[in-house]
Amino acid sequence: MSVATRTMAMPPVPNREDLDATWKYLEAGVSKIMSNLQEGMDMNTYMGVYTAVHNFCTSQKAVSNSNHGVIGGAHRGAHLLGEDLYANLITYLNGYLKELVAQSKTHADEALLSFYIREWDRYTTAAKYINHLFRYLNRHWVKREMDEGKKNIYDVYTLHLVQWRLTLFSEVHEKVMEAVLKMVEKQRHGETIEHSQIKSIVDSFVSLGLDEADPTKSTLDVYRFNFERPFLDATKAFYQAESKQFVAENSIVEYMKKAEIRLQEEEERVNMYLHADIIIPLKKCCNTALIADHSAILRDEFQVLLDNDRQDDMQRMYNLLSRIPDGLDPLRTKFEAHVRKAGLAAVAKVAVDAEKLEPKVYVDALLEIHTQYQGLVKQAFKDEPEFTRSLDNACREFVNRNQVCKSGSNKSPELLAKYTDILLKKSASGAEESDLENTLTQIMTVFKYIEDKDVFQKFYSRMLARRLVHTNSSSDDAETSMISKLKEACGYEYTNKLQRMFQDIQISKDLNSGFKEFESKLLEPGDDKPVDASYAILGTGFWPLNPPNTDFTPPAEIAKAYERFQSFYGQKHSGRKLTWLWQLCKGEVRANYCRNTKTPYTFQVSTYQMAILLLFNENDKNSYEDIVKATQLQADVLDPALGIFVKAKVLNMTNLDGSAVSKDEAEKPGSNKTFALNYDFKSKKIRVNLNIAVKSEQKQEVDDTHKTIEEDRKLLMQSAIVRIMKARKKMKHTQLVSETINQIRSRFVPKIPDIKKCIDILLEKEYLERLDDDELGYLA
Amino acid sequence: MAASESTRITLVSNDGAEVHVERNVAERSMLIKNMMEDLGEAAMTQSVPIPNVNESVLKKVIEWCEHHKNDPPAAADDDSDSRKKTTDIEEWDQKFMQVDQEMLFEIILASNYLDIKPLLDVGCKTVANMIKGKSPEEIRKTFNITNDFTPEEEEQIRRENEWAEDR
Amino acid sequence: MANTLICLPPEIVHNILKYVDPIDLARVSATCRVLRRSIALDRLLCKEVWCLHLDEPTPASGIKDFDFEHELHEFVRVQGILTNDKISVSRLPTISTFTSKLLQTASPKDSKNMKIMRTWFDDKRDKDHRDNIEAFLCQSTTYTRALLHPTPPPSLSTRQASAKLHVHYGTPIFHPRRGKFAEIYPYAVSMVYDLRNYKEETLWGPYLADGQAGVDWEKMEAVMLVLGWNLRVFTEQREGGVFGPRSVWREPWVGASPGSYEGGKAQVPGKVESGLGAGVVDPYGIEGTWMRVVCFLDFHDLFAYNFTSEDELPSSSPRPPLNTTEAIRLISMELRAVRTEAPGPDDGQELPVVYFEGTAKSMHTQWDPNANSRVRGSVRLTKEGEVRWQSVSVYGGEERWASEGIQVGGLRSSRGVLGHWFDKDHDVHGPAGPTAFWKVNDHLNDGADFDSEEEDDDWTEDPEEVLEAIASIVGFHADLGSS
Repeated sequence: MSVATRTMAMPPVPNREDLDATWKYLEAGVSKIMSNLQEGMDMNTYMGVYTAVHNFCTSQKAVSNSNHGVIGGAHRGAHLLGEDLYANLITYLNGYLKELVAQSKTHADEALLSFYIREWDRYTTAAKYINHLFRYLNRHWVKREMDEGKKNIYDVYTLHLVQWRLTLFSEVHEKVMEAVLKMVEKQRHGETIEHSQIKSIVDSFVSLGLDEADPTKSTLDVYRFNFERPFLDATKAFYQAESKQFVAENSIVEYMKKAEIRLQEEEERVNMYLHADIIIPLKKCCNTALIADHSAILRDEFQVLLDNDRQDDMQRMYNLLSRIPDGLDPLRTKFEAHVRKAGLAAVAKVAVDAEKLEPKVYVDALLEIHTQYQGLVKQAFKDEPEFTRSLDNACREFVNRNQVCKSGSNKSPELLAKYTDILLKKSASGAEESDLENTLTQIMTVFKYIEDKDVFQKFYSRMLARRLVHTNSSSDDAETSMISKLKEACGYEYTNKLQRMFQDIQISKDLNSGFKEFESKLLEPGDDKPVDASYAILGTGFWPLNPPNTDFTPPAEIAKAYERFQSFYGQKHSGRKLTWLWQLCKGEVRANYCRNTKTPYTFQVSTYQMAILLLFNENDKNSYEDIVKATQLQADVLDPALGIFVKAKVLNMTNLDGSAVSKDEAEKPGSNKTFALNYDFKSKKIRVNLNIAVKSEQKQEVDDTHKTIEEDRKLLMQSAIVRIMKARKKMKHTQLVSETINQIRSRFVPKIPDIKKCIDILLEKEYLERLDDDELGYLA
Repeated sequence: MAASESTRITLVSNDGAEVHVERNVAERSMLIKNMMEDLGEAAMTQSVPIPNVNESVLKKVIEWCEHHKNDPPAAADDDSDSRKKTTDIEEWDQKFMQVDQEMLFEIILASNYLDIKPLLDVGCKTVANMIKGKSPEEIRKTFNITNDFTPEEEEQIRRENEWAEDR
Repeated sequence: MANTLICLPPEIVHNILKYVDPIDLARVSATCRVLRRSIALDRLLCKEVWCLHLDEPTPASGIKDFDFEHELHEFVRVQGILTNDKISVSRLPTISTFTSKLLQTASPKDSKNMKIMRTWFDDKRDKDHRDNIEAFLCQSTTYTRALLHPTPPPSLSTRQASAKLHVHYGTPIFHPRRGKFAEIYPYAVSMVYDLRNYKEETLWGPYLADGQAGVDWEKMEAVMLVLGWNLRVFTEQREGGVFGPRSVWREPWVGASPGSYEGGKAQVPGKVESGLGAGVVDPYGIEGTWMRVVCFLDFHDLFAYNFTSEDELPSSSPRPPLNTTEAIRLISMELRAVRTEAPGPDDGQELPVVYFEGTAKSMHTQWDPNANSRVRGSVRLTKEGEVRWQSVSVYGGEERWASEGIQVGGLRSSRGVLGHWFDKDHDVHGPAGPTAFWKVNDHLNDGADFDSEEEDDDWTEDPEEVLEAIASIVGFHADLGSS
């Protein structure tokens, strides 16, 4: 052998069938690798060891000894050789490792870590060599043993790891872990440590995990049991002690900051030198010690933070408590209660005089609270859906049940609708288009919380009708935008009528221009110019309007015009009946009679008023009775109309005999009174609006609206019940009630007695029948 | 340790013949590949003794390695995926294996020793093909095997193997 | 030197022998003692030879302790029978048992088992071979009754074995061995629509009267024939056949193995993780969209066929063949598992019973009042290890139709389930008929709604609207006074 080895010479190359000689040779080679690898391995030894393993495993000693002619004799058949080598290798490794265990006893703490890591590196490097050299054993004997399902047989490299674990690791791991934990604690106290050592230990522990069921796979069991568990225990103890002391000496807010830092540090620790697998249990451990154990005092602090609007600290608390299971539920409950209280307080502040409450003031109060706490949810609670739900719950509560609503549960939708009306009406202020759009979006925010959406719908449609009929809507775009918002929120059905109303007005515009053409063709030269009129044709079912409740004979000037329109319309749509809604008509009258004015005044009047005024074209004086006779108007309509004229001094009222009326009757027209045109009428404005609705009329309208709501609700409930029963055929009474509530809830919250009443009505009408056992049946 | 393709190493057969071969060709042998990896640069300059293989067989084996030097390296343990296995032999290998039986077995043993799994398989498949479809007597003849069964044993074997002749 | 075969080290002999054909192992072991021992003592050789030619059974097949040596011998035996030109019907049980085993252990992808069975049953090879194969596939009662020159029917076990083979084979044979059989379809109809087959003893399903849902493969075969016939007619009528199960029932053997459903990876029982509700384990791969086909006879025809015969048939005699036209419905079902239960004493014990719920929608006849319904049911193993499905369709809260069936090919097979449907109250007057369903998708369609049913909405929201009238108002300008 040409290569000199200082420490060990290789024994002679063995006879392939001589186990003792073979092993002696192999042991020398293996020892060399184990202890002297750094001096280099020479090729002859390498090839020699490999060949010795191969030769031993393929030797035919059994064959050469076989007895011919006897089946079951000594021929090894399918039996592979190698078990002896494997057993010898185990014995050798055991001896080697026991020696290491003895050496380890002389080290402690960081020195022990260094020793362990050094020996581990040396051992595993050697194992890789030996695994190559024993490859023939791996390829055949080991593989066959494993294929046949033998337990505890490993390839040679894995065998090294197994032996390390059994012999060395089992003896030293506790002390190694102690040293590791000491280092970690030092670091937690702010000292600098050489953390690559811990990383090496982690890697070593992980490498030792073998899946007993399938040796080709590894598991983290060894690491988990011997590293992770003690590590977590130590972590828990450390933070329990630390947090207990810190909380005792500092404010909660300070503690939260501290905890945040600690949690951050532990996360960095994982990246720096721990196994990624520990992240979840380590987080859990820290969360328990740092958060869950103190959750009660944290939550108590939450109310304080809310009261003082400490957004940053609330965010901090949210972040901390979101890390533990069910940590946030109590916060949500507190938050919800707090928002509700804030909402109720805001309403109470503006609701000192509920009757005079401005819709804008009320809606703004609601919105302000919503905006404020939506901001908080976004800022501090990451827009978390559960917090948003708490916010929604709270808003729904204070929007529907507050001091203003005490007078009537329909108050919120009513006020909201009124505010919308104000916004959409033409007004002097002339808000910017984009501002209007924004405000409408805000209206929808409140609308979302309204429970009685049908009430809003009723008021809205009446006001829309008024805006359209009186053409004082601020813009078509804004109207369309609002309707589509409502449609988005509540569906087609909810806005169907609103849309139809809007369409009617559009169609009427076309109709009017068609009519103008028609009318101009009728005119003979020299005819009087016809009254300049425009018409709106409204579908009965869609508009919340009723025919006039008084008789009325329109003045001839107008009669001529509308009769012409009627014949025009009859041509276009034969079979349709037109009913004129006189109470909604209006016009302008120019007063050419006034003295001392260069330009004549223009009076804006209702049709009823116009009919009255036109009478004065014939006579300067008309008695009350004359007027009644000519117009056929009933007193409840006529009197207020006249009243305004008198008050505005368009007409002078005297007693029949011409004497002045007494003071207490000054503005009360009636029989025995006579009216005369006031030629000395004076006004600062050229256009005088005399078409003024009377307060009592408005009040009346609100009451009517509420009444129709009740009627509609009954119908809605009945139709829902019939629909459900038609599908189910049979149903228990109670089940039907709850199903009905389910179906209707999007419109309003029905009361159970009301539903029961509706069921009774349907039983009476024989849509339903009573069956046994509290069941109801559907009658087709 | 990246070896350029042209690096040559020297193998020495057990009858003392030196065979020069490109390193990546020689590394079709897992034995040589692992050794190069383990011993590093130092091994490059030395001759590698191949104590179990004679010159003619070694040259034959290297011929095969030359031809297959660009094959993808075999997976660490390709036995585990039985789905890819076939009994087919590619054409070049079939021709390569047209040698006398003694050489055939020598190649098989050498590839087994040198740890060249694909070559070992080609050799074994070649032998298997020599068995396929033959009667026991024909197999004996092919491989020079002596029938050492007694008539009683023959009868027993016939009964045991009934499944193979069931039509 | 070890330069002869018998002197090689055993690891090399092993490596050689694993490449020989299975049948050659017998020949090699008959050469000399050394080789005989090499084979006899080598515990892994048969496994490796098997795996070279066939699929290694995976844990998903549910087979433990697969006896490779025995099965390899069976393989050689069956190969011998099937490549022989002699028709030996008596060997049917051997063939049927072994092909079932090959299917059961077939790997879901690139299966060698499937490949070899396709070669064995290749009907395009030559006429003799096809006749031979069809002879094995056509021995059930349905076929022997249709023979033009009747011969006594084979034994029950032979008939069952043939029917099972045919159901697994999976492409219905309507005109076997040209000239030897009458039209098959009427005979299959006579079994499927014979209401005497829907009775308590067989649990109303395609089962034997053992009370444990042991599969009656002859009934399964008749169901396959009747549905296959109708699907063929249906797809021919509609060019392209969008609805037809194109590949599923047209390629021999395809889909008749566990885990063959593409989207459904075969999983080890017990270790199944699923996206279902917490704790609900679904080893059967229920969740997803299923295609269902249902056929039925006009109720008058069904009644007339079963109850108006002049003379009373003995209970063992089949009803006469019936050439008829049935109605067919294709239905899309969306199912998901909802809970599990431990298996009952009459069930296979390896897997739990899983209950499911879902919806069913008719694919082509929306006007049909039976088009949409809810479905609920369960899946379990039978004692024999077959996958048994039960379902009930629910219309407007009321249970109406029930079904019983067996998944051909076992757990998560793509072939799906064949079986019976019948009145959920088991009315002796029916109706009843054949049904099948198979999975098409692991996903539920978007918007699949398990909580509400479609409602027809013809009771108008607001009765006021029907009042017909147009109202109007005017607004106008008028000049007043002397101008």
